[in-house]
Parts: sequence; structure tokens; C-alpha cells
Amino acid sequence: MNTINFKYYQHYLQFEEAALTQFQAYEKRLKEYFLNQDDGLEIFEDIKLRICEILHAKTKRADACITQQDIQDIISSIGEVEQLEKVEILDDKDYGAKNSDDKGRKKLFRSENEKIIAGVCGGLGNYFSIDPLAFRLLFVIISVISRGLGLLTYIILWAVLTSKELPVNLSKRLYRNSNNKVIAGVCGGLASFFNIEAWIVRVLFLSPIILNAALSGFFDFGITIFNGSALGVVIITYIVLWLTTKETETAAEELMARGEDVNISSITEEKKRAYSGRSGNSGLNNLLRVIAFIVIGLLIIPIVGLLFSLVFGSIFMLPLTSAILHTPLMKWLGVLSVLFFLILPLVAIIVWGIRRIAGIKCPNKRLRTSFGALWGLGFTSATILSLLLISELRSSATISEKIHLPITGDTLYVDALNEELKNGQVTFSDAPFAGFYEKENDKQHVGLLTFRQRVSSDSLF
Amino acid sequence: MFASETQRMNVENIQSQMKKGVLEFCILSIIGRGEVYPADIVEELEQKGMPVLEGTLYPLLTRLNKAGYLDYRWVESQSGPPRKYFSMNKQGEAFYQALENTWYDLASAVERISQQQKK
Repeated sequence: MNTINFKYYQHYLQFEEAALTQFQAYEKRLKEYFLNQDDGLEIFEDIKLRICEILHAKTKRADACITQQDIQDIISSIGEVEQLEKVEILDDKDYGAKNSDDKGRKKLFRSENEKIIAGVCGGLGNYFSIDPLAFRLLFVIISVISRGLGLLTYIILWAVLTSKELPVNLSKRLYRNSNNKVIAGVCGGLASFFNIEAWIVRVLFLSPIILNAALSGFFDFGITIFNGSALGVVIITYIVLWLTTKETETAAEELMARGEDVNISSITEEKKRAYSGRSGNSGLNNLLRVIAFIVIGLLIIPIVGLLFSLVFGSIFMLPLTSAILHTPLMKWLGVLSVLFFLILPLVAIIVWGIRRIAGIKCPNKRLRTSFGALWGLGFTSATILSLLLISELRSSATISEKIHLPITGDTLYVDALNEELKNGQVTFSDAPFAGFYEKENDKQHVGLLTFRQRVSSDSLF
Repeated sequence: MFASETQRMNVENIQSQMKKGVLEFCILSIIGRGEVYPADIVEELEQKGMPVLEGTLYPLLTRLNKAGYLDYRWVESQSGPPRKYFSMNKQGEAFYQALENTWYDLASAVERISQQQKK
């Protein structure tokens, strides 16, 4: 007996040749019958799907080949067209009264089925055919900004409107995207909703942080990150969206999130595309993820802040470098340390952030190894440098000596030894002290005094 | 059993008409108990002595869904294609309530009428 491999809804099924002919003829009859009816396509798709399921179960047997008997079984279970015609259960007109509610002027209700607190937003969403989420967000933000006005409006609407079960009139819903997420998938979900790239949404969400950082400089980065009302709105938006939306769990929801038709072929495709081999996340697992994100976030922000301060600190230390790093070797080690030990991790964190935002999943091994190697180099040079400095300090400690300046008034007057000192901001390695000088009018303010090696023979001391 | 082919046809016609409304009521009572897969409805109806073709069940479910009485949800299965599971919403419950009242009135009336002894 000839067998044919026939693809039916993503599944390859082995048919006996005669069985396939019989099956295709039956399917054609069904199609002609149903497509003449209202909603016939949907009914036909449902039935096809059921047939596929039965056939699929049949192929689980040892011989795994569909016979004419199998097709006969299907026909007797689904029904031959003539039998269906006879039963012809109900016409659409039997439900003629169903839409009487919708035909009149639309009224605003609270939604009984779409609610988080009292269904006010659900009702508004139904009335305007907008995702209720938009109203939830609006209420929370207005409440926060106006110190309670939104809340008041909500309570009034709660009291005024009656509750009613409302039909779902959305073809598109906002979900959190479980396939495209950095924290909770909110940005990914918004991106699917508006059909744009996820990184655009993420950059928009991060823009207050970036602006804040840019405006306030990087020194107090760690502090300003929690300031700014724009940032507050963004964080509230994110949290509200996080709490009020569902994560896509099935391919069907994924399609709903993009407003695409949910039908069998699109589901199977979507399932293949994104959900193959994905295991479900347990609630505990999710909770752990959230905690992990918070911990990582709390760690990264101060680390970034610290690194920034160190980098900027070392840049401002530049005038001092010739004093501390007085051998060429030490200078080189210093440059390497700052570049690779301090700046590199910063760059790495920023690159990592950008890659996450852009949704690049594949790990770039070359990038990782080169980052690792360079950082190792930086670390080594920093270690060597600090060892050198420590040994030097130790040796110099034996000679150095604390000097108390005989300060008589509020101000210590220091005579400039040469022109350079008069211009301020200059450090000398040969001068009696190295430190910060600031010139204000005619006065030199001496900050941080570091005495080196020997006491000057200057008359002032 | 039947006197003629015409008589057989007539009986079948009336039978299917009698079944028509009752079947819908039965389906709704099954779905009213909780979310269910159509093939399970067919199985239960058959077990309890009201066999129905899947080809007649699906149009009925689709129309009840379009009329706003039933909701469905796609459930992906480990093997084979995804399944549509049906459940009843609030509107459907009210609809079913009305059918249920009618059914019990009708059944007792029919019983009283048909079981009446010949005078």
C-alpha cells in the first residue's frame, strides 16, 4: 500500500493513499458546506483543528499510518454534510435580540468583568474602546501629580456609575512581553502594542535618568538618579504597568498583544517562533527574579557612581600625578590602571545596558574575552602601582615629619616663590609642598597640604 | 419499522426539531459547570444518551460565542494542535437560567399531557 506524507497544520501525517483521497474529498465537502454559513470560516477552522487532533492521536499507534478506517471514524464522529444539514440546529436569527443593548446610545458603566478596584477604568475603556490600562495609568499619574484629584474623580465615578458586565471590545491588549524583557517585559509589551522596536521604548523610559545624569554631571549621579519629577512619572508608569498587566503566557496572548488575528495558523506560527521549548515560569521563580533585579539595580547604581567619581577624581588628580608618579614606569602603570581598571568596567556596564536595551541576546564572546583581558591588565597594573606606592610611602615615612605651621591669625600668608605659583593652579614636585592652590584676588588659598621629603629652608617655615 | 420513506423522513425531521432546542440547553448546562473542551461535551452527551455530531456542536458553540454567552480561550497542548476551551460568562448564565425555567415548565407540561390516560 502506498503511503503519503501529508502536511496538515504544521504536522506531518502519514496517510494511506486511498485514505488521503477520501479525507481530502471529505474536507472539501465540509468546507463548501460551512463557508456558506455565517461565521462559517471560524467553524470550519475549529473543525479542521479537531480533525487534526484526532488524526494526530491516531498516528501515535504503532503503525502510525492513517487508514481509510480512520477517516471513516472521523466522518462518523464529525458528521457527513447531509447529516449536518438535517440537524441544522440554529440560525443566527434565533439570537436576534442579542445586540439590543448595544444599538442604543452607548452608556458609561463600571465594568464588572474588567476591574482592579471598582471597574471604573474598565468601564471607561469599554466606552471609548480603549484598553482600560490607559485610564488606570492616567488616574494614578494625575493622582500623584495633583495630590489626589485623580483619586477623587475615581471615587465620584465609582459612586455615580452602576456596575455591569461589559463585553470585551478590544482587538488589542497590552501585555508584558515575556519573550522580550529586561526587567518585567513592560517595554517589550509596549513595543508590541505600538508595533515599534523595544529599544525605542526603553530609551524613552530611561531618558529622564540620562537627562538627569547629563544635566547634573556625573559626580552626584548616584543621588540625582532618585530625583526629578519626570523620573518619578516614568517609574510610577513602569510599576503601574507592571502590576496591572498580565505577562504573555501563550502564543494566543502574544498575538493579542500585537492586535493580530488569533486563529489557528497564526497561533501555530507564533508558537513555533517564540514559545518552542520554553518552560513555564513558576511564581516563586518570578519573585526571585524581581528580587534579583532589585539587588542588582541597587548594586549597579552605586558601583557606576563610584566608578564615575574615581574616573573624574583621577582626572582632577592629574596635576598631582607628576608628584606621586615620578618614574616613567609608574606613569605608565597609572595610565593603564585608570584606563582599564576604572574606565573599562564603566564602558562595559554601559555596553551591557545598551545590548540589553537593544535586545541582543547572543553573548558576544570576543567582546567578553577582550574586556576581561584588558580589565585584567588594568587590575594588574593597579596592583603593581599600589604596591610600588605603598613601598615608597613606607620608605618615605621614615624621613617625613609633621610640621605645625605657626599660624598666628585667620590667614596664613605665603609668599609666592616664582611666577608660576603666582598664577595659581600649579603644582611643583620641588616645592616645599604639593597640593591644591586656588587663587582669589591676591590671596592664595592652600588646600590639602602634603609635605614631601624635606623641610624647605624657606624663611617662612 | 416505518410505513414509508416519507414517514421516516417526517419522523426524523420532528426528532431533529425536538432535539434542536434541548441540545442547546444540555450543552449550556455542561459548559455552565466549568470550562470545557468540545470533544468532552460530545463524549458526555453520548454517555448520557444524547449523541451529537461534532459537526453540529461546533457551529452551535461558535454562534453562542458570537451571541456573547460563551467565552473561549486557546490552550496549547503538548502534542497536537492548540485547543479552544469554552466557558460561560455572566450573560450566558442569565441566558441559561431562562432556558432552564422554560425547560422544566415544558417538561412537566409534556409529561402531564402525554401521560394522561385515555378516557
